[in-house]
Amino acid sequence: MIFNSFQFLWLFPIIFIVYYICNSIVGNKKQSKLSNYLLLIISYLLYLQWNPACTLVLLGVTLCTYFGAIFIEEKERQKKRIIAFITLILGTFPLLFFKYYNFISSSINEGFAYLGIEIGLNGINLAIPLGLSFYTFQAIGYVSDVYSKKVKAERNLPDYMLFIAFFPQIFSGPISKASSLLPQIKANRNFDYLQAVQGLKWLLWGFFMKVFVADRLGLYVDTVYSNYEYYSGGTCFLASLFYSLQIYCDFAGYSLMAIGVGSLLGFNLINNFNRPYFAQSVTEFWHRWHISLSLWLKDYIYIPLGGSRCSKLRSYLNILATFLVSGIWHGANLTFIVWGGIHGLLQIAEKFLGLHKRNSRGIIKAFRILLTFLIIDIVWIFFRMPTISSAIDVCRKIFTDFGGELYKSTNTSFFLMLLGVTMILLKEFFDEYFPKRLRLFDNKSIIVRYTSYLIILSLILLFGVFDSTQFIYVSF
Amino acid sequence: MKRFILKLSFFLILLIIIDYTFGVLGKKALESATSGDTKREYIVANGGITDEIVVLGSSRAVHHYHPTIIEENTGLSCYNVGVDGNGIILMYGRLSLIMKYHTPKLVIYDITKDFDLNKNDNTKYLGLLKYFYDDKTIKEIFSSVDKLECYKMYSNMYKYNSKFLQLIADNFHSFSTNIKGYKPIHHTMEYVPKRNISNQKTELDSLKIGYLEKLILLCKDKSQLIFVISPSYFEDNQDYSPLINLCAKHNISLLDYGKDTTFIGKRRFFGDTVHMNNDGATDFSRIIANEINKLLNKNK
Repeated sequence: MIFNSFQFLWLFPIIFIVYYICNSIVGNKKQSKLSNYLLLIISYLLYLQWNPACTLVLLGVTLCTYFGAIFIEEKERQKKRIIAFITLILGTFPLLFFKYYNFISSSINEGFAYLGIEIGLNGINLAIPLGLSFYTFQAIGYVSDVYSKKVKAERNLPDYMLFIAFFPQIFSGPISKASSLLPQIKANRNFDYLQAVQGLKWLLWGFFMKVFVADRLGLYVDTVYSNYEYYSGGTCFLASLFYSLQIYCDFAGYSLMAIGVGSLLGFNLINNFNRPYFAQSVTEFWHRWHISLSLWLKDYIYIPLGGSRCSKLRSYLNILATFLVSGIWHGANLTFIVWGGIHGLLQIAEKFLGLHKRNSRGIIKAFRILLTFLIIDIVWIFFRMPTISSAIDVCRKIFTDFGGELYKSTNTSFFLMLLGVTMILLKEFFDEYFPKRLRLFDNKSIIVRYTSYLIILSLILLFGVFDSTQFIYVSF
Repeated sequence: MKRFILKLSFFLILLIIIDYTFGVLGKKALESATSGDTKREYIVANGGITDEIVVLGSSRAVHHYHPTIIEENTGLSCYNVGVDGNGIILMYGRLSLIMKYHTPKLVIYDITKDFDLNKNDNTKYLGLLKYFYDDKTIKEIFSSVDKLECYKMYSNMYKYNSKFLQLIADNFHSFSTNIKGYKPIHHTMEYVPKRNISNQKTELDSLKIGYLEKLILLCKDKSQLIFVISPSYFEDNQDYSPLINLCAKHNISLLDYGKDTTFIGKRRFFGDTVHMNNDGATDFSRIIANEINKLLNKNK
């Protein structure tokens, strides 16, 4: 279920009411069991609605990791390792097959063609199951945690199925840890007024970020990037700035909505963003951006490789390997690998210069934030463009083509883009540096609170882009 | 839970009041617009078009047909009703609204394959029809494109979505000028464009083709209708067979300038690869005017 769709608007209130009615009519003992069954059925029905065949993939990954984890826990050390290995291979197979098979086969074809040998491996034309990367990583993380005895293997299959398929987060995360989400699934969840109100606030702000800011910026970005040859360097630079904000508002907006929906149902999902564009270094950016993925990569890639408790050279290689995995996770395209590689190299450079832990103040801090943002902004171009050569062309335009007109779309659209960006930046600025000021949604005065909600909702209805555009990260 | 539902209900009531207020304001702003696109929208739908020739189509219609040139060369009054990024779904609605008050002698429809024949998100073409949702034909269009849109139209703010600032601005100052609906492009394409051959497969849209036929039937026995494929910088080799078949079936003229060497490859006539500039539009409008004269003389 897409949060910015009309379906969500009418279906979620029904889910919410039925969910709490069910909770209230059964005693405390059976409450979590019944509501979990309900959430599981809803989660699977919503997934089935998108693509019934792909639900089998979801079920396959779930069953494979469920039984794998139980076997891992039951067997002694030697066998445990083999079972873990087999579970990981089976669990990641759909991801590798659906997402990377075409990339791998075409790379092999090209590689052999370079040597003058024709192999002719055929590609496949299948839809990638939605959320595959997210739920696979969540399941693999769980298996690793069971293997390293951080959590016990889950014996209740419906609970585990809900852990993997929980509808607010299956399509785009956040990637939850078993230690955080499974206990919440097992616990009774009574209606909590404050938690529900907070959930609605997150939902509202997330919706605003998506339909008012991200989707409107997206109209500009798509226009410029699809014909970048014909736009000036200044326009390409503005499009790159808008894309940096678009992807943030799109993904952080989705995450906030997922957290909000979770909160309305009595769950506390992991916060995925912490004002990433106020980071003073690329290293810090990754502590603030897509936090659940960063933690996953740290726990299951970086640390098992040796982390920083090894030689300097080895730890640099570990960083690079981790970010190459991050790039590949985003998609089977060289652009993502280059994007991940550049982020890895930038962090190695920061570590080498000792900048990764140094926090500056005053003007230097502002300069570092700006510089970090500009660097990340340019690297996003590789993430956005379809090929490396087109990304390089856009960068070349930005740095060499200083003349030409600045494309502004229509006056009203440009004004709305600037309004949205200003509102987001102001909120982020106050949240970062003056968290007790400008509390509009959390103001003590009910008039200020309600006025803020109504203004945001009116802005969404009057100026939001309502074409139910998919969230960017859903395609990952 | 009770407190939560009560507060939420109170909030929803406030929202409904605000929504209603914006509906009233939006309607007033639409009716009292003095210039710009808002004024154009309003006169199109409320009997303001009394011209003998009406031009319909996408941005290629808006930028390619100069009504003054057509008027000078045919002696018939002309208005350009085309809209950027739109096609048959909006145009059918617009012509229905126009024909409620006035029957033009000639309707020229400039075809853009993406907007008139290919499958894509049709909901976006409903945007400018939202103002006139109360009209029965417009309601039917909404219902045929996306039934959910009919529910969304209960919200007045949604009705004026993305247009409210323009509605207000067009009551005070015009940001967008036009010559009887024609919007000239004054710059010339300075770069040498590369032809991008898209590998993307396109699918035909039966809904759009259905509306093209409805448009033909709307004009039948009332107005003369001609379809035109206007020039692009690159030769237009797209397959227009569904349109060709419709024209053959209903005996409608189709003027194809997509392969006309008068314009192809000549940058001085173009603002970009798909839109002619004012020079191109002036020359093309003369050619079209001559064709209109021939057609009308033939019918005499």
